[in-house]
Amino acid sequence: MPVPCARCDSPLPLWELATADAAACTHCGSRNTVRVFPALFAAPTAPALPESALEGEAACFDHPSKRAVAACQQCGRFVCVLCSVEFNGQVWCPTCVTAGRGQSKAANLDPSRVLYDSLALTVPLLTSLILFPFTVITGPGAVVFSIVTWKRPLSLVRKSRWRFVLAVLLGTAETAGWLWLVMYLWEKFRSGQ
Amino acid sequence: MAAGGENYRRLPGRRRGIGSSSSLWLGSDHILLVRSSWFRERYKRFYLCDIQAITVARCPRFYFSWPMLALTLIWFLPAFGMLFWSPRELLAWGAGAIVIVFGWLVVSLAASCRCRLYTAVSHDDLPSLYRIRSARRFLKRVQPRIEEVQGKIDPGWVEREQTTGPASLPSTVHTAAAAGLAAPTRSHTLTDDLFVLSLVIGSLADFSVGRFNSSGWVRVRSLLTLLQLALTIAVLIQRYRRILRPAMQRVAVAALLLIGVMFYVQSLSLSMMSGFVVGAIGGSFMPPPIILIHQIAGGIRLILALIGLAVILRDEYRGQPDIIGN
Repeated sequence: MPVPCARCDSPLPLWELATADAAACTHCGSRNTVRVFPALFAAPTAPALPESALEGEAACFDHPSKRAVAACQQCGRFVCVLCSVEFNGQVWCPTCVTAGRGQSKAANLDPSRVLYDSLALTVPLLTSLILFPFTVITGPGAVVFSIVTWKRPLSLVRKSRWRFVLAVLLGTAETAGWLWLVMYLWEKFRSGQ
Repeated sequence: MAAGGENYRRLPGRRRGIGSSSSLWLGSDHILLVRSSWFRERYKRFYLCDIQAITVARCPRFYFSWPMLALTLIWFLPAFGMLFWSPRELLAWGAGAIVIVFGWLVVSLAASCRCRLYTAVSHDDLPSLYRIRSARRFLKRVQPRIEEVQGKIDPGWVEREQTTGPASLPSTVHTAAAAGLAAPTRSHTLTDDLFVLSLVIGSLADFSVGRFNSSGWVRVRSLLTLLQLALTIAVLIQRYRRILRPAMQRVAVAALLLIGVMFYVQSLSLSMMSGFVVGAIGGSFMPPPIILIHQIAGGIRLILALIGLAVILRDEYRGQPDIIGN
């Protein structure tokens, strides 16, 4: 069973792995530490073929000649072995999977997410550090953006919303600063100084 | 498959690049690879029951992370006040800089690795594991969990495999590697040869500061810097087009950073000193701190040139046909 080198993908010499969990690649010379697990030897399972539906038996929605084995737990359509998709502990039909129904249930299977909380915090922070005059826009913008996107899903791995809180505080402080400046200048203008 | 609201625990190893990061998390039944790029996170899940093998290969990895950048900036900040330093302080500062660069090189060369995870249908790099220590800790954490799910492997699997012959191995990677298709990139091009040469000449020009300070020589040095900038960009473009290998790109990025840092350090130092040194003595005088800065930059350029040369030679060596295998 060739186990590949992590650096160049060439098969590692088995005679070395026989004595230790490490082997030097004969192609690139890198020393590899190897951990092998039983899944490496699991034979690939052949896909189950759908059986033909007999007279009076429930048939698959997409393949009327095939016997239904389950009903989609989203739309209720009958599905054959081929069409049944196990998804989040349930059986779904391919149409529901494609349509992305029940996304809230499958939220933890997202392939990517936008980090709205980081965006809400970084923009006013960077503008206040580098382009201070722009905080007249980004300050109130951060507050509004944080409120609008507050309920959007966060990163899968960090659940806290402290970035939103900090963005609101920073945005409020920047807005208050600008308001104070405008009022101060207005007062100065009115008093004629 | 995990139910909603999965609680992830962080696994050892984290890569914090400039604008991107990567980390690994352990879920109830899978390992989650998180790659962040500015304001987006991308996820990849490896279910514990599907993992066939994890391999960690020792190899040089030259990463310039945020913490490293911060350390460099902190170290360079006091350099603006070099004019007021005593020679002993200058020497200590220079020695400290060399120790930091040397330490980074040693760690990058000797204590780094590449980690890969194999399933039946994929083989993925784990970018957050690029130091051997964190890779070891990762294996220590993950191996018992995988064995809990899959069971332990028969210790005599190698002998069994040797007698029964190869079974179902992951993927197409071996055939591709065996056919030499794994890396369609070239070992070196004229551009990266010229780039390495420009680094060597640039370092010599830096070392010459203090000895030759005529205006003509200063113009030659400026032209050399511009040439180096152009070659660095050319190397990056060639890498973007997948003509060159990533190692040379890293050297180019380091050279680009060096040019940028040098520009700011030199400009700020000169502007701070100009009032009472250049005005008093004359335009062709080069203050000792500036000479030192150039000599440090020359040293770093020389190291980069050597690394670039090593990359070219290594790729040349690797590109030789295997006379035993063929």
